[in-house]
Amino acid sequence: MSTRHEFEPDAAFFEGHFEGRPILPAMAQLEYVRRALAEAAPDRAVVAVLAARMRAPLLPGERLTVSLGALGEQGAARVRFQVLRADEVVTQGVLRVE
Amino acid sequence: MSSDPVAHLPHTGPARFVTRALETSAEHAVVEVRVPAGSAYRSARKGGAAGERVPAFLCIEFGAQAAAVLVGARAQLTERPPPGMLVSVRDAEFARAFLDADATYRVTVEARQAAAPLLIFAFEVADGAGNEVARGELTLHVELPS
Repeated sequence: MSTRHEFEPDAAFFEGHFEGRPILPAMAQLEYVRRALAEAAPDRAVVAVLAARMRAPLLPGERLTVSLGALGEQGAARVRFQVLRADEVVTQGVLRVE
Repeated sequence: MSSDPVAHLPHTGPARFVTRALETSAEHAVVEVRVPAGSAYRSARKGGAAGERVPAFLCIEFGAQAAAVLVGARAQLTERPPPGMLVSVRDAEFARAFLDADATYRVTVEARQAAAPLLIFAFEVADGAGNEVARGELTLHVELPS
């Protein structure tokens, strides 16, 4: 599996996060990763975030791209993800899916 | 500002999951969380079942907000601090992929390591029956007012 999915974050995710300084929550980024996974592998669901590193915030109006790839010998059970703003990786990590 | 540590959370409206602090000490906190009605994380259950669900990875945010309560309580804040940022997650495991969106959950966080401005916490989330639904480790970047 190696896929890329583009999203325009829903304004609702910015509400209350935070007043006067809106940024897209890390969980909203994971939600778009989940949606990308649901498109690429509808029978799979996230049961662990084995590692994730959030490098930079996403701001209102910025589009994001989710890149997914299966990892090595663990096959489809482990999925590497990246959340990108243009070509910049803002969040990356590894999921376990079932 | 209130002495209630929950009042110091920078999250407001649908972004705030902590409803109350049950315990706080220098090294741990226990809070209750709920997903507000209308939260963007809610979705319909599959197969036409009644009620809504949320992805279980939202437990990471439950843990992060519980950690923010602990940080606020420890610092004895008198005003709302700048928002802390979740910067990393390790070994966050979920008992199932989705949770009941209308349930109340109990979150326990313990301070593990600190190298300012980075603070590392272990978190556990249990459902109303006391069954563990998630556990893991998270790191916050927090710059407290001096």
